[in-house]
Amino acid sequence: MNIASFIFMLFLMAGLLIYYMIPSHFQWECLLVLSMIFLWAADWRNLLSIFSVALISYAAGLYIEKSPEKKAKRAAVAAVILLILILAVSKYLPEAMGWSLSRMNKVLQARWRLLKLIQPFGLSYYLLMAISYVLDIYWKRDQADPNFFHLALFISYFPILTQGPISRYSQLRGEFFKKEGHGDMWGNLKAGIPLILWGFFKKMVIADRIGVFTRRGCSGHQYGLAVVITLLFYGIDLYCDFSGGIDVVRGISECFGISLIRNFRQPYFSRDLGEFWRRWHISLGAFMKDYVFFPLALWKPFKKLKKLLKKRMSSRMAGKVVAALMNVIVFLIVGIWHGTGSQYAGWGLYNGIIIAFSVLMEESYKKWKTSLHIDDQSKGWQNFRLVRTFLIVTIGWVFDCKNSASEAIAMFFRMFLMHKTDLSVIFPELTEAAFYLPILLIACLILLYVDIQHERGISFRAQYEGKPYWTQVLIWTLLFQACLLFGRTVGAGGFMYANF
Amino acid sequence: MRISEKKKKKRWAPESRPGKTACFVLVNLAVMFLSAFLLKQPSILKTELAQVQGPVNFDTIVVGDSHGETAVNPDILDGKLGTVSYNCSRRIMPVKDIYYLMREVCYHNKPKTILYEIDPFYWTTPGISLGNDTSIFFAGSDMKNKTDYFMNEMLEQPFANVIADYRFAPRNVVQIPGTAYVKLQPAYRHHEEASIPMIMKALYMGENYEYKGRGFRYGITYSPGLNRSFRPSQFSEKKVAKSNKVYFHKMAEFCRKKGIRLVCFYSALPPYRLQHENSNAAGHFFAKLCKKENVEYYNMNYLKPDLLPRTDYDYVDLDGHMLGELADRQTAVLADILKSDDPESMFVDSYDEVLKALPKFQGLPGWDPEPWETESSTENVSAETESES
Repeated sequence: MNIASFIFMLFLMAGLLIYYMIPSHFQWECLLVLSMIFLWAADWRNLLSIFSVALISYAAGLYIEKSPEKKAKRAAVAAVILLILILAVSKYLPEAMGWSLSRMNKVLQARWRLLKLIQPFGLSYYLLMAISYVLDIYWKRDQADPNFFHLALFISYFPILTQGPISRYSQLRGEFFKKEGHGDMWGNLKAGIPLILWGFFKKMVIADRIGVFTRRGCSGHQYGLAVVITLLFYGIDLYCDFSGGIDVVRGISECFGISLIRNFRQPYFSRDLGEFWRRWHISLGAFMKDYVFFPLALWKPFKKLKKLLKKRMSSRMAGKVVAALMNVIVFLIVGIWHGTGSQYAGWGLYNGIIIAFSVLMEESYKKWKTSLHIDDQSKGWQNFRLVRTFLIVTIGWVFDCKNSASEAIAMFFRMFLMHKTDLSVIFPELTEAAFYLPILLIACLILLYVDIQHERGISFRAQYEGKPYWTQVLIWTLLFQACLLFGRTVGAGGFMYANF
Repeated sequence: MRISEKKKKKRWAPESRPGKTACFVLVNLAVMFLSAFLLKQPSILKTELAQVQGPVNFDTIVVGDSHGETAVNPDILDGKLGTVSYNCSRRIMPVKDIYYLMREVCYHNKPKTILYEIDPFYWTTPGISLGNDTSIFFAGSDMKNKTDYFMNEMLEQPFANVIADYRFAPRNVVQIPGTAYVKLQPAYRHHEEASIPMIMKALYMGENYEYKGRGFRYGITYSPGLNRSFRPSQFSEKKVAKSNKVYFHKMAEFCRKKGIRLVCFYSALPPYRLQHENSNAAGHFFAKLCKKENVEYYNMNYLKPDLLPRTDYDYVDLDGHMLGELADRQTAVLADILKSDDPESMFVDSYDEVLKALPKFQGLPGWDPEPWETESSTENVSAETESES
């Protein structure tokens, strides 16, 4: 069920009606039932998968909590391996088999299709959540929940299944099972609906519209300025699609009185690539930091490597080399999390290597800045860093645009053949471009304004709540009507991150 | 004091939360109503549905998209076959919608034959929802069909497409005066066939086409201007949406159950398209599909050259919308096929023969294909069955 579909809107309205009609102590059960219906509507087999994952996490959690350290460690490792195996079999095996079986016989291909069909919905998100639950209990950051259905709700909470954010049980427990209930309906709707509308504005007015140009640019062989425009547009497209989708998800959850964590914090205002990824898909970044990066740092082989390096270089430098290496590994894993295509691995390596390089060169940068008398705090330098980060990120989108790393690299090099530029591929009709580009520009300026306000610490809600009633009606009517007027585009509707 | 009190009175606002919500909803409904009135193109389908829902029983029905609308003349068909036919083909009609339209038409008529003009474009282009006309739901009268359409089509659509069947596009904006004018006419409001030429004029189709009745749009002028955005495209079986195959199966099943002869045909394309696209791949795919569904299928591109000679000038545009004269000739040949005992004898065997017989492309006034690269062919029919020249 696509969250932009009409059926989802009906489902949401019916769900909210029931949710606020029943006594508040039954509300979490209502959410569980709604989540099950949501999953069943997509494919009943999703229920099998989600209950398996919930059962593994539940059993492992209880066992780990009651067992001594050694046994707990074994159980945690076994549970995590099992969960990763489920991910590998359900998500990566069909993709990998599809790749290798493409030239094999029809029977095998049909089986591969079957495997692809049973790829559970939202698996990439809820499996990471299950892993975080098991490891948090093992590391004693959280306690195991004795109620299986509590955990089943955490794993299957339907807004999150569509595209995250990847949440922790410690964050959501308090939200799901509030003793005082989930507040009044009108207050929750007032908080949630504007967020949904804002999300749809980003998705339907900006992402879907600019996506028409992006798709043209990403297909075939573009050169010079056409590649530059494609990459610029792709960055806007992806940001508005993903952050818009997350806003919709958060808004839906707010309607039920449940606050989800923010997954974006104005990433395009970042001063370096590391900061960019701490502001973009925050929940995935935080997961990787807590459950991959830190455990890797404490892993024996890395400790040994650090010791070995210390013999050849300073202790500080050895630490940096290890950190750089871990960054490359973490970004490679993030890339592979998106899919098995070589473009994902390429994207991970591109980002990992740049961050690793900046870690290694940190001291040299400081020396250069001192010798060139650059004031680290000056506006000019900060703006330079902002533009530099923007360019690095934008170039990196080349991997997202194409279906393989080699195609992406070829596209990158074609960017320098300016004399071969042909913009008619992206803008085949002048009237279309002349009509939609100004609309896109206005929409992007509105987005920029809101993001600047956020950057200044002015919350989204504070921006409109203080305004008179009719001004608020005007603002939200304009946003809603913009979605209806510009929301119909060929090939639009689905969210990019719903595919991962 | 008095001034501020007056100001406060002027800025009336609802105080209760339900009241505030209701006001917001009402304002938006009003804007949506106005937008729909101004931006939603007047529906030819709605008017045509009213015709087929009338007392006349049509025993031959043509369904399909714009190519079908401009390619089959019911008068010629009836003259040759002695039938009473209606061309229900409408532009930008997804396969799914054709199925529901077919059901709606059969609810009011007892057709013996349904002719389905297949345009591969609508089978391979995802998200054809820009122009889909919800008239099947709103102007239909078969409650079961309406319910199925709502459950299987409208529920799956993005919510914006369902609640607001309009969009703010350059074409729609330019058409606002014409759209508003037509919608205010009694003929349109009463679903009279006389409103169709008005609609065509409002949608700027009147320059190139003339409405000849019973759903047939007769091409009158070759229009190079329409070719500006035309690009040759390549058919790929991989791009065919699974749902289209499912709905085609439903069509075949429906006709079998009702004892209706379902005949699929692929209209003759302009020679340029045949020379620059892999139409053989599309033709081969539909031949396979129809064979699987046990449905008659005729690819008019494979007709023996003397049966339907044509050049690119016999079309309104390179996309393949026929001029009326060619449509009349194709309809006559189609009628001959339908009554023939050996229709296969009217076709050539291979695509090579098709291409050999075509006039070489000499260029068209007002249209220059040179700067455009065609998309690379992603799928061709295997060399064993047919070969591309």
